[in-house]
Parts: sequence; C-alpha cells; structure tokens
Amino acid sequence: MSNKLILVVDDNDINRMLPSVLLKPYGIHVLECSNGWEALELIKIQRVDCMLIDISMPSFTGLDLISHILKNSKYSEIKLIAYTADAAMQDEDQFLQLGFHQVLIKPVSAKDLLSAIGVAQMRAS
Amino acid sequence: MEHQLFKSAQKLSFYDRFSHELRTTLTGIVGFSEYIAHTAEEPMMKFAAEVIQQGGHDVLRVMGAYVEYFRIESGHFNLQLSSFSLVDLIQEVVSSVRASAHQRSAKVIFSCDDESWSCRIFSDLVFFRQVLDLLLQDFISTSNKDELIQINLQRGTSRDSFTLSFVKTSEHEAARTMQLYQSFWSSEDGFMYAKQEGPGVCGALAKRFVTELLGHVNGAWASDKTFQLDLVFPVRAEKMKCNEQ
Repeated sequence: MSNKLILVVDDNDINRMLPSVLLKPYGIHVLECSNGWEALELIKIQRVDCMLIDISMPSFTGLDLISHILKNSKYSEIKLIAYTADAAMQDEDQFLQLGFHQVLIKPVSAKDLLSAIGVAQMRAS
Repeated sequence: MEHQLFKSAQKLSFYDRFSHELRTTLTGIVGFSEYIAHTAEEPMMKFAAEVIQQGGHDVLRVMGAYVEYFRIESGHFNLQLSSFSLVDLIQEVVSSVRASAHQRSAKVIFSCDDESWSCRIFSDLVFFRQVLDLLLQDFISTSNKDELIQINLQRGTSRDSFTLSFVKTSEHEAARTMQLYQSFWSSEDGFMYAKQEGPGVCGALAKRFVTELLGHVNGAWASDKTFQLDLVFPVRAEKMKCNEQ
C-alpha cells in the first residue's frame, strides 16, 4: 500500500490537508486538489491509484466529478472513495450506486483512511 | 397531522444541514487531535489531545441522536427487519462500549440465562444496536471509578419477553443516576429536550427507538442499584425462534 498515490479533492483546506498528515507515517503519498476541475486536469497528466472526493463542493460537486471520471475508461483503475460529511445511511447507499467503491464519513481517523483505501481496492478489483 | 409532518421534515432538513456543517468542522478537530495524540512526546500534551478527540466524538454522538430522532418524527424512518441473536448483539455492544468504561476505570460484564442464549428475535438490527449503545453509553457516563456494571439478560415469565438489567455494584452516586433515569422514563411521549442535567436526549431517543421497534417497553429502577428494562414483543412474538423449540 505504501507505494500508492492518493488524490484528495476537497474545497475545505483543513479537511483536504488531513489525509496527507494522517497517511504520511504509513509512507502513502497524497496529492491535493481544491476543486473538481483541478482534479480532472491533474489525473490527465498524473496517474493516481485512489481518489478521496468530497461531495459538497461549490459549482462542481463530487458527484459531477465522479460522473466525468466514470465516463472515461482510461480512469477505470482509479479507486473512488466518497469523502463526505453526509452521514445518513441512505446517502451511503446512493454513493455506492453512483459508482463509488467506498464511503468515508467525516470526521476520519488514520485507521478509517487505511481501511477505506484497502476496502476500496478490494471492491474495485 | 400533515402540518406536523411538514414541520418535522423541516426540522430534519435543518438538522441534516447542521450535522453536515458540524462534521465538516469536526474533521479538523478530531483528525488533528489524533495526529497530536500519536506524535506528542509529552504525556500531558498527549492526554489533552485525546480529551479533545473524545469530546469531538461525543458531540457527534449527540448530534447523530438528534438527527435520528427527527428522522423518526418526520416519517423518514423505515425498519429493516431481520432475524438475529439478541445475545450476540448485546455482546457486540458491550464490547464496543468497554473502551468508554475503561476511560472511567469502570468495568462492564455481560451474562445471560440458558433460555436467552439460543433465542433469535425479529427486529431492526441496526437501530436495535443503536438503542442499546445509547442506553449503555448513558449508563456508563454516570459511572464512577472502579465501578462494576453488570448487564444481564433473562427470558421473561411469558415467552415473548426479555428482561435486560443494568446493575451497578457501587452504591455511591446511585441516587443521582436513579433520579435522572426516573425523570426520563416517566416522560409522557418518551422525549425530553436536552435542557435537563445528564444524558437526556440520548436516553429519550433510545426509548423512542425501543417503542418504535418493540411496541412496548418498560424501564424502571428495581432497586437503588438496578435499572431494569423489560423488552416485550407482543406483535412479533410468533416470529421469534428458539433453537431448542
């Protein structure tokens, strides 16, 4: 897992920075984007293994972003994790139906992150 | 009735939004306090970070309870019924609350009679777990250092009921705890707002869940140290299965 590259997409600076801080001791590299457009541009030039995508972002939401990603078969290997503060159980089901491999409800711990990344990889494969 | 449902839906919508904002903010508080707790070398710094982290989780738990309550009140609540072992469920919940008890230097143990051991009940597993978790967390939150909390499940006199008892071995503080629970259980609609001292909203929510799930519940202090919860299954009794039958 330590050679994996994770991309966090979140408009909140602190919440975007957190996975990087928590995963660093495990040798996992994390890139950050503050919006969906930036993320789409980045994955065109940089191969990433896993994306943590915030759902509620202004103008271009996490759901908009995943719909773009799923349309392009080039990105089929990317593991997609919803990184959200929407805690209702029906939201979680909805996110999985939309194509996310895993749902991570904020706030998160290092253990949650490691587990979600692991589970997402299993489901995608 | 429709007007009430509409008002409840509005409340739910507000609390859903509120919960979202709170979780967004708490992500930084809980996450970075975890980081400090793991990296700090000074014991006091480590302890302070753990306190912040636990506080964040407690706030989330209370918030979650409010949201679930309004979900029930507004009709956005569907039971997912399935058959499961009550003993397994209680053991699972007891294991999950042991950490909270440990923080208070209290101990939790579970026991049950032979009759209950093999019984399966028909209910909503997820919400039933939440009910027990809330009740136990409330009970533990009023426990004292070195106190022993015994959870006991026994088959009732009729075939369709169980008695779940929470017993504290220490007498100290029992009177205060009793008072809190008495006022909660005597509440007319099973709901108290958080204006009262103690774990009012969680306990009240738990009663509401139990009422929704089971049709009937009776909780009372059997003695100054024992809180007894009778779980009765009048509607779904025919769906209860016992392996020995």
